[in-house]
Amino acid sequence: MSNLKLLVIDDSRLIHALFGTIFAPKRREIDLRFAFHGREAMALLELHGEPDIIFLDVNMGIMSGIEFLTAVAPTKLAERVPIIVVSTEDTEEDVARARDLGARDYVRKPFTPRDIVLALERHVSWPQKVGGA
Amino acid sequence: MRSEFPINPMREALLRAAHSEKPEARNQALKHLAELDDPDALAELLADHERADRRNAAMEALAVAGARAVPSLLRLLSSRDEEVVMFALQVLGNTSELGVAEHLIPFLEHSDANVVHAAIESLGKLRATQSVPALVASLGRDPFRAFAAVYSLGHIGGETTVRSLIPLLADSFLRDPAAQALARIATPHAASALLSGFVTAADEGEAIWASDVLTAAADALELASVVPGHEAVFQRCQRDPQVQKALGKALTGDISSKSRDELLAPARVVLALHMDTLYEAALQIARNPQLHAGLLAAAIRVGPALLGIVSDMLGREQPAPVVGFLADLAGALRFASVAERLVELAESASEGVQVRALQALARLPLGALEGEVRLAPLLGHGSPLVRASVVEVLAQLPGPRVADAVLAIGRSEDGLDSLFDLARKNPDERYRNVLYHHLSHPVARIRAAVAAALGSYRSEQTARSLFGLLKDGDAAVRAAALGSLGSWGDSLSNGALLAHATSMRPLDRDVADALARGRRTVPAAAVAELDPTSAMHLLRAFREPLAELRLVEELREESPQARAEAVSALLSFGSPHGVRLALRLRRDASALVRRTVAQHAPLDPAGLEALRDLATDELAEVRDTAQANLAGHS
Repeated sequence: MSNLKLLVIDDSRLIHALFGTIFAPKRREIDLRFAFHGREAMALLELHGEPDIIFLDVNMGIMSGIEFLTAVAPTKLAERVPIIVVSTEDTEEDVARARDLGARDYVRKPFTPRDIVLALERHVSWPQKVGGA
Repeated sequence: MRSEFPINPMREALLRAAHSEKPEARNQALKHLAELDDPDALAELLADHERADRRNAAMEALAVAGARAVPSLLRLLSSRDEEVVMFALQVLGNTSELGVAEHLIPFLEHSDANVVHAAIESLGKLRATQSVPALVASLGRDPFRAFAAVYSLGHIGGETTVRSLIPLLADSFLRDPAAQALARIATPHAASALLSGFVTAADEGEAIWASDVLTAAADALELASVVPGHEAVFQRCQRDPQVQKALGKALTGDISSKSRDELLAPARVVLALHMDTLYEAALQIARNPQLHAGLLAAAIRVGPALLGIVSDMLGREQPAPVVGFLADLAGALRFASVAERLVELAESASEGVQVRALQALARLPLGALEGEVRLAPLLGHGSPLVRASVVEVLAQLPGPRVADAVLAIGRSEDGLDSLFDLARKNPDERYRNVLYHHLSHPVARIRAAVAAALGSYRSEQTARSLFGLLKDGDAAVRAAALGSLGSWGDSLSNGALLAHATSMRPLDRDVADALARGRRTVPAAAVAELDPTSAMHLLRAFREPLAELRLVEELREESPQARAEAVSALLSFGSPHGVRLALRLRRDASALVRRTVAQHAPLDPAGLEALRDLATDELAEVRDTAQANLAGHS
């Protein structure tokens, strides 16, 4: 049974640490990768293949979440991999644009661990995938 | 709405360039924005919610601007747009200007949670010690805020912080970031608290958390071992029976069911605390070869104190990976007293262990190797890796003794190239005739080894032999002979090289270069006899003014390749006249020529001017080459 592959794209190390903590109890069942911006995420996709789910921040330097969605649109990545936008309440315009570009869900910052786990469960049947977590 | 953000063409171009795929171009654009643009104008873009790309580029440029941007950013903190305030706080955290911390602390009480988190994160990035009391107060608030505060406190450090973080090791949500923060702060007390956290977790059967907190403890202990006064705390931990018991348990059992960290962390802690009663258990995890690198790094920190256990363990039967690891460790720590055991292993163990024992022996001080000539028969070993390793050992011993031993044994065909490698690295006159004897060996690899070894045996006869090998049908043999003659740089090699040069049509550039290494002046007679291409190679190798004249003429050649070649040569010659003429070709019609200028332009005022021109060339490849050259300069 393969591990659940989760990619977090956010320019904040704090958010990376938070995701690490949220999924720490399931460490052996989840392959968690981090990118600091969209371009790094694209490199990770090329290196490691597509994950099972992506959590995507909107506001990032070098390549923002919207730019990332635009860049991967020709590959139809969003049709195969659920992309969850993680952003602040005030950037709803961005969220709407992200949805137009294929993002399937939205988690508002600040989020609780439960928000993340619920979003994950809405789109990935991870207990089955990881073998009954 | 866009009209609120007036368009400045220069700024727009730089903002676009700040999203270039090329890191050099992006960094240059940000640097220019930071240096040239008005910080107020850039700061205004933080409110441009329609164009996140421009806003993000402006944020990066403001961070690069540092102190220059601070007044503009502080003004934004009074914006009514909470998102603008959040962005300004984020950028202030990236400016490295500690003085802004006082302005950030009040935002820990802001009504908007994202603003609070931005302030917390930025205070951590700034390592603002004055914010510790306010951050500690945040630990009792909502989980996300507390998480952010723990994370930032870990970046700030200090004993007050350590005291406030230790209780959080019992908090199911905050224990992970608290452990990471304590590991980062790495005072002796932080390390000790993490170790206690491990004992508790192990007692409670929380395997994953126990492994995590023990890894944090190992990190902290290794860092804290250089903190003055750590000894007392370390000794207390070392003698704690609960710690000993929990570590002993963590190091035993079926290692195949444990993760890398679960095995490595207890071993690292044992080594960091110098718990000698558990050394063997710690070193036994070397049964898993994947742990060798991490374990070796931890063991090397212990140093000579490991001699006893390494010697003892090597004297007993061990699994092959453990023996290999112990050999590595003995070599790394220069444990000369185990040399005899290493020789035994090199003679009789499996190939992997043999190689590691030999590599360890090669690292030992010379005095320890006196008895190792008996390894000479391994020069005929079937494994090239074993042969190469034994050459490294034998090359350190006194030449005559090795030659006696080596020449006394029978030589296998496999071992000939290793023998000649040894003859090159550890020359002895007794090898000379063996080398001459194999000049015409049917295997090119052997002839190449002979040619390389002969470089260590300078004589007229050797020069003649190498001259013969310069005409060998195999390129590797010719290159080895050329390398040997070129390394002499004297009249003997010159004679052979010159004779070879005059017989070549056209003259090889490598030969010309080898010749130039041994002579001060260009051999005029040879030039006169050579064809134009060969003469050019020779003149260029000698950096002769005559060659420069010819190259300048070639700048007008029709063929772009010829012009590019001349540009490259003139720029490498470095004479002001030639360089000036070559740099003019930055506007050449051929992209190949322009790219060559971009690649080789010197980083002096004239060269930089040419590079700046080329950085705006119509062709991306030329621009990139110029930018790469400039980036290398910066």
